[in-house]
Amino acid sequence: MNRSELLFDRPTELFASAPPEMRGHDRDDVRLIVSTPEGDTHHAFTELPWLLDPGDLLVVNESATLPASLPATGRLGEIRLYLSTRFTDDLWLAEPRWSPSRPGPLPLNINETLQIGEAKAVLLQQYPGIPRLWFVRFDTPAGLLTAKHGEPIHYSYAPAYPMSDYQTLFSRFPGSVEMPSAARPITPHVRDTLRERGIGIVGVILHTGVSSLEIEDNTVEHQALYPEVFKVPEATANAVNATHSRRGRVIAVGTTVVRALETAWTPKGVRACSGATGLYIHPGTSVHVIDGLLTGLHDPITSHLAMLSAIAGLARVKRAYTEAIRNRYLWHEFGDSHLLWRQIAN
Amino acid sequence: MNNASDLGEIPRPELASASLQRFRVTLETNLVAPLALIQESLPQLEQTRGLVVNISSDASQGGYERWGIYGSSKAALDLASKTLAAELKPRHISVVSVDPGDMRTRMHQDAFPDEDISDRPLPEVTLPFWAWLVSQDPERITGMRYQAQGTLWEIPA
Repeated sequence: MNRSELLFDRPTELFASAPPEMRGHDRDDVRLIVSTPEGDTHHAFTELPWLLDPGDLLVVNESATLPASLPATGRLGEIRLYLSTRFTDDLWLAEPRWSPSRPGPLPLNINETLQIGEAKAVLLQQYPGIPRLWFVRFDTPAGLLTAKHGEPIHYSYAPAYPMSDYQTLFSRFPGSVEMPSAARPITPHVRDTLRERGIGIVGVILHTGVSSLEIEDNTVEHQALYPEVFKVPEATANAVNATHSRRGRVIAVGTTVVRALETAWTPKGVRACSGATGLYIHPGTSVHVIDGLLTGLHDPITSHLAMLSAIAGLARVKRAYTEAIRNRYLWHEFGDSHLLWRQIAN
Repeated sequence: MNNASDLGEIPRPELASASLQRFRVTLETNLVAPLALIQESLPQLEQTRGLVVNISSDASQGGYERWGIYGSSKAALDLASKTLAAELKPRHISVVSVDPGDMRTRMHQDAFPDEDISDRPLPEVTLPFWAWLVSQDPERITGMRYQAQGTLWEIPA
């Protein structure tokens, strides 16, 4: 697939710049567009429990968000260091940026040092194929630095809000640098209603790295993606397999959950599995586990869109996005929601 | 890290007509020498609760034509790694084998003398894997075989 096929026009005023509870009443006060092969329908997010059937299973990401944006100073002056992927307490993949609104790559050198408060960070090497990312060695555990100096990673369309705005109801295991935001609109009320309707909720862990920018390679399938640390617990693998054997549907809450579950897939079903996954789901790959995806609205020419196209086909994704733009849906982590069914209409 | 390897005869022969004497050289380099080095290093490895990495190849599992000499030496090394992992577990010494995948190296060019291998990635493509591997608790991953360019680096349950 050529990268230009993932291009679409979307006015910048459709970027959600604040959490919905600041615009309306609560986190679930967002809209939900539902895409089936037959068409797209518009709903309030609170209708979700009635858009699913008893016996369906939601799989959420239980990773919690870190204050992963660090102020750094060095030869280039004051910059930001966005942590991305933890290897050990002092070895991370990170993205040096001019500012939240101005990405890199910055003209940095191997062995250059950045100062973060009293601590030092050494730039070891650029990530192969993704020059804006660096392997960074800290002389102090990064957890101490984020606790003391960190703020949530944010971009030009939104200021930094309190850390609690970047956690979901299911955030339990700190490790993500950006909120796995698909579950953000699930309030205790929505969760309880889902359970009363007989819809299961189970968790995986996938610690998110920094957002990918636009796909740079002309061929979507050739884009380099970095791996993320994940875990599919045994209870979750069992719940997914049991749901399928009852002909229930498995709905991933977020693209991170798709990556984790599809990594754990075998021809005999999903297995318990943990480690690091570099799985890239694009139109040239097969999706085996998930029947539906509950997610936000994603940027043009991103790997997220490549995944959505693998699930529902590019034409259906484009149809839904045209419909969402026409109806003024809001984009990004504080925006509206999208339920994309793989094949079966509800 | 046992990295040095011998490709064997060039051009790579079929097993049916391969020189047995030359095969012994390959086995000596790819299988016996790593074991000799590991035996020699056991006291230090025990002290540091260290990790031994034996470099393998997809040829060890492939059954590809004309890769039988190199491939079988690497298959034997894989089994030696797995066996050592079990045997050395009580001494807290860990062993993994790693298939780095196709890379633009001199040995790869030697294996494909008339081919343009510029479409293969440079060895630095494996950097993320090494960063990940050295960050793991060796005793949790001992006995594993990894593909450095693969999509999953698994930690066994």
